[in-house]
Amino acid sequence: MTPSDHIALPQQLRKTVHPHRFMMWLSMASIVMLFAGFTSAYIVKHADTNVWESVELPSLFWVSTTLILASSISIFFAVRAFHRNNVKAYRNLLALTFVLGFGFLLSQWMAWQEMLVISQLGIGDKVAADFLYVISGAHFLHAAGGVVAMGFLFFLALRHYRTPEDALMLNLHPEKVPGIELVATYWHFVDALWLYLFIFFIANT
Amino acid sequence: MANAAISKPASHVHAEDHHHEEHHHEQGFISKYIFSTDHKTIAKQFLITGIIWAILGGALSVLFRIQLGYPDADLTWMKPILGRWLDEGGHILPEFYNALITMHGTILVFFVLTAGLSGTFSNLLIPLQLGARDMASGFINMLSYWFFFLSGAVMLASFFVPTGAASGGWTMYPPLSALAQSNEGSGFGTDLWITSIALFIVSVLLGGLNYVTTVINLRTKGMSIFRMPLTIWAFLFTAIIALLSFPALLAAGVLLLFDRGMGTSFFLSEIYTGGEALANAGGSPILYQHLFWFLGHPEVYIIILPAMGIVSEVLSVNSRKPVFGYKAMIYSIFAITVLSFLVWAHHMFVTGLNPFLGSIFVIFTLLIAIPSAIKVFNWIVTLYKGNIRFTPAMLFAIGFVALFIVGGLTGIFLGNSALDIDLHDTYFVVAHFHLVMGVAAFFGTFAGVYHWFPKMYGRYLNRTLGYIHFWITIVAAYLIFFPMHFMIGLPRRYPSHENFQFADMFGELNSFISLVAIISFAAQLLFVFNFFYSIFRGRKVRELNPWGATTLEWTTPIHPQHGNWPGEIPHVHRWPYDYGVNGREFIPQDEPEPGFVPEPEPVHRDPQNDQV
Amino acid sequence: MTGFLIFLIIALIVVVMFQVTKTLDMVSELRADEKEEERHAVTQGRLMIAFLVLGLVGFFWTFGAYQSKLFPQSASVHGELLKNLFFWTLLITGVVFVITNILLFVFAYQYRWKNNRKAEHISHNNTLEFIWTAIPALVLTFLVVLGLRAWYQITGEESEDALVFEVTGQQFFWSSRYPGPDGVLGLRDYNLISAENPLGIATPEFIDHKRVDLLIRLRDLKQREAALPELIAAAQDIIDHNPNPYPVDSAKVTLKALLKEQKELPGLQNRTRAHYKRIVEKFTPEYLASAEVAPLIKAGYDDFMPSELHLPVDREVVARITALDVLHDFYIPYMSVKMDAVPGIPTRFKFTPTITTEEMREILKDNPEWQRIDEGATEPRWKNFIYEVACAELCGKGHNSMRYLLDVDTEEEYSAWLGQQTAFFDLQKESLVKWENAEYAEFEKAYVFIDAGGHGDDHGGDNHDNDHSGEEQHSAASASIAH
Repeated sequence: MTPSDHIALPQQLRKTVHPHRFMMWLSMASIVMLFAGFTSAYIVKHADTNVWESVELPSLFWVSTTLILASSISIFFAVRAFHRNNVKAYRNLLALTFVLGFGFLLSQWMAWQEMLVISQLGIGDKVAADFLYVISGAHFLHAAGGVVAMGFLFFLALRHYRTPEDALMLNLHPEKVPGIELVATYWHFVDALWLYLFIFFIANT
Repeated sequence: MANAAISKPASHVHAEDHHHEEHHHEQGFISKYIFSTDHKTIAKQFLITGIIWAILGGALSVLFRIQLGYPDADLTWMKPILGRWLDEGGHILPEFYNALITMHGTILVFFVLTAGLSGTFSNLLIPLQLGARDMASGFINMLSYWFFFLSGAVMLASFFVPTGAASGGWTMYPPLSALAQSNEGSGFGTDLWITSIALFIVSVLLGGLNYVTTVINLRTKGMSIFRMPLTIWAFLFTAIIALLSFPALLAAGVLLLFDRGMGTSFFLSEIYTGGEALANAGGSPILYQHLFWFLGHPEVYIIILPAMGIVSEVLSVNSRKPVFGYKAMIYSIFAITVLSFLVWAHHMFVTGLNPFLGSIFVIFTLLIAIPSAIKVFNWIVTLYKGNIRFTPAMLFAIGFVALFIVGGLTGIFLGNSALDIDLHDTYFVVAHFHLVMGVAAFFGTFAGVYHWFPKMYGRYLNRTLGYIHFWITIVAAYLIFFPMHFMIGLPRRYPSHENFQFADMFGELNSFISLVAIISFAAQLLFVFNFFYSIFRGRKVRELNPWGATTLEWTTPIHPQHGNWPGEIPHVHRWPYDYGVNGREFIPQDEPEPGFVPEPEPVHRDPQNDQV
Repeated sequence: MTGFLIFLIIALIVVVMFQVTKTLDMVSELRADEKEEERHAVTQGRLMIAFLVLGLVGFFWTFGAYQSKLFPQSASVHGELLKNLFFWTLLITGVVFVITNILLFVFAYQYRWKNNRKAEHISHNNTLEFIWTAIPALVLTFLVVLGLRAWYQITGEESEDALVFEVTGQQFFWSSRYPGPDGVLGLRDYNLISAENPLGIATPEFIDHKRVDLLIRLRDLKQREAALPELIAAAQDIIDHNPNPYPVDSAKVTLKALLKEQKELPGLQNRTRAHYKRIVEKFTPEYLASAEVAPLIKAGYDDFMPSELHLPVDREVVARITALDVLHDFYIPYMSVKMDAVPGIPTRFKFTPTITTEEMREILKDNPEWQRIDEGATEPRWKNFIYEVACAELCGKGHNSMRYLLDVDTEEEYSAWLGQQTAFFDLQKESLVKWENAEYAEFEKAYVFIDAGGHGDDHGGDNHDNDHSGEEQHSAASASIAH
């Protein structure tokens, strides 16, 4: 973010939730509405069309789910390491999360290939499959955003946060939410969102 | 800049001129006026971009009003601009007519009355009236504007597509908008339309995040929520509605793009067009309408709520009276916000909607009339026993109430599903929504611009031109839209009605309406002139608080810098409507109650020191 | 030159405006005294009252002035209900409109600025606010009850003996279908639509006809595909070797069209093949013989498709409303009938016409608007009156030309009209191609099932990219090469 994002809070409000964190929550609400839109469209279509044919979920979705769950755990520990000023552990865990997140994206990509090639479901063949593509695709983009942010954080960690002192300074900075906290919140959200979508798909096929 | 202004308040006060100069050198033109993160600059950017779009959107309406009112007019002289959209005789082609109404609707609903209104005044007033240095994130705020700009650029580009701009109506119902072979404008023009709207949604969401966060988190000391001016309440709920409803449109747009380009069948089923039976099966065009109106209806409140907030404030300041029923006003905004999400299907009464579902939507729709009625009565009583100063802003605020009454009352006809069978997609609807969310929202915007122009530019808009602008506009609004209610069975979106015996008897009335529309468009140009003239040459503001208002924005310097207050942010001690109490004409919000003893200031931990 | 002139005029206007505004600003600066606000208050206050009075006069005047343009009487049973509902809503909202506007503008005038006036601090009044919450609530409840009663009556089930007919919207006209003597509409399928079967009625004969239609089309496309390289080479040859600019230019255009066609042909063939397969897969002998479908197939033989609608007076009718391409809306203004026509999802609307066309002419005779004689006509409008059907949902460039006619007959006239109708199948059966006659089974093998097992490209993602049918291009392209 730019220097001008460094804002002065009214003094009496410093103990309340930080604006940037609040913004993250709000944007999550907005994203929830987007997927609520998609999934309710799915339900409506499922309910009132006479040509609905269920499709089998690609088995790779299980792999993706495992990966994203694992990445959620690792980012949790990354945040903890950050708060304990353990720079090295932080960096490693962040790298691990990045790799897991990237693995999730890759696995999703391959899951689509699985649908396309093995299950022979082109886009436009079956409504259920189309929904699967669109919804998991939209989720993919959101997850990709998270992975890019993690990559950026890792880059920053390599460049600027080498010593425990660096970390200490960041942790004590009263006016700034550490980027990792925001990214972690977002990543947990993307994870939960995927779980919801996955369970939704399972329940509807 | 923010840092400098904030962390060195003392030097700022003492050397203001010097400070100013310094910034000029530091920042340069681009970061000060183009990629600015100052909420006031961004507000002005939204306003001016909105004005430009309004001129374009209005010009489009003049073109199709010419077609409706003077179908024989020869427009060959406009060939250099309109090109192949004119036929041999210089008449507007039907496909172009459809593109005109589509773009007119899109531009005015999204670019002018959403971005131009909410973008301008939320940005300008939220930090100023709440006592904040800036928005929660100036950077995201800047992004919001530039996404809007980009979205506008894409929309503008769509006019130059060989197959023409999108022409499926601003609602973009598939299959018409999904099948290029069914409609010329549904070619690349519609792809650009969807892209542009997607960018616009990003802009609105980024803006909304900032507005809500700033209102919740960055209020100055003493600014409890029930001390917030009604403008802020309106902006807050507007942003909440936007954050929760715009994603649905994004979902609809994405699915529509897939149907257009990837051969999916979300909205398409059993279609025979262009001599070919398409493979699509199982889709439902009605599903799109549900997704669209889940945004589309809240959207009209996104447009009208900020106008309501502005009008409440302007009425109160200029009547020298508190707004009547402050809390009732808040609760009605809240009720409208909640209900706005529960009424979308009233746009779909004649789509074969389940009758029981329809009746639920009737009840919710007519329920909205109650909070709206409360607001109207409260505005009227705000005038009662006041001492009314007829500034142009005040005139527009009164005009807003009048227009909102007419438009609101015709809404009662349309909300009743049975009557909607008669009225759906006729000129009655056109009259209704233009009055209630078109012209009324414009009046709210004008009230805001005339009222806060001194804060934006340190100069006044010319008052006489303001009066002329107001009277022409309000008279024109009634002359244009009131008779339209009588074109009760006339289907809308017809380039001409002469094919039908039942509909071809309004020729004279249409010519009259078109004439008035053109005059009123010219009157708006008068305002545009006034606006740009006054930025540079208008009468200078010489007092801090020219309208004698209580709210915090008038405690800033006449030309506030980034950071708004040179010294400390004022604290708030009372609600914003202390007019005519304690024998005083008004008491500003930052004036302590008599006998107030300030708490001892807590020791302020300076972040800079902490770090060392 | 004109452009320059316009620019000059605009520049002049801006300059004049600039000077005028400057003067106005100076004057107001000079006249700024403590009386200024009062002066404005007097002028603007008077204007407010004038606006109110003229506005109210105009409000009532318009009701009189446009009376004759409104339709005098609704020609359906539920239409009268709606008229009643409209009247009550108008009465209530009219009263509110007049009262609130008077209060608004009179208050504005009454309490206009005076230097010595003191505004009263009135912040709220719970009783008053309760009253004006309760009153709208009560009034709206009344309107909701009235409205929903009408709504359920309109959307309710039709009676057993209601007459069924079908209207179908497509760009840019309506067509209709009646069930014939059996009273049941036959099965339809959009895949079967052809020039001979515009609504796609499904009978074995029509199915065969459509199959042949597609096979011949596939054959033509194949032949065309084979012929294209030669045509392209010929065009290329002209471009390469002809020194004359004229044929080169035209050959370039031709070449471009040919190359485009060549690119699109495979997709077009795939789609046609997929279309064929859909028909074969759906209309299997078992399907046609199944208990639900067989009676509907049989019902299709006596359906007839008149060129305009005829309905008997005072009998309940149900319109089955469908669309072929995009959304349309079946709208009979005089009868308060309006219902979207949605491709793939048939809708219905139940109504009872109450006034025959003849009776309506008598009613309109006294209306000045209908006594007018149109330009080029010899008789007053009312003599030519006929119920019109329009489209009320934007459907493209011909949206305003979807005029269809409806004649409401007496019971006798209606039976007479029914007697004159011939079943659509009977009209068409001579022109249908018969499967048994020819080598179509060979065609099927050669053109459709060549890539048996192939999958994925049947649907051709570019289904919006085929605004020319193959046939047209064929002839257009060969015509241009012949020059």
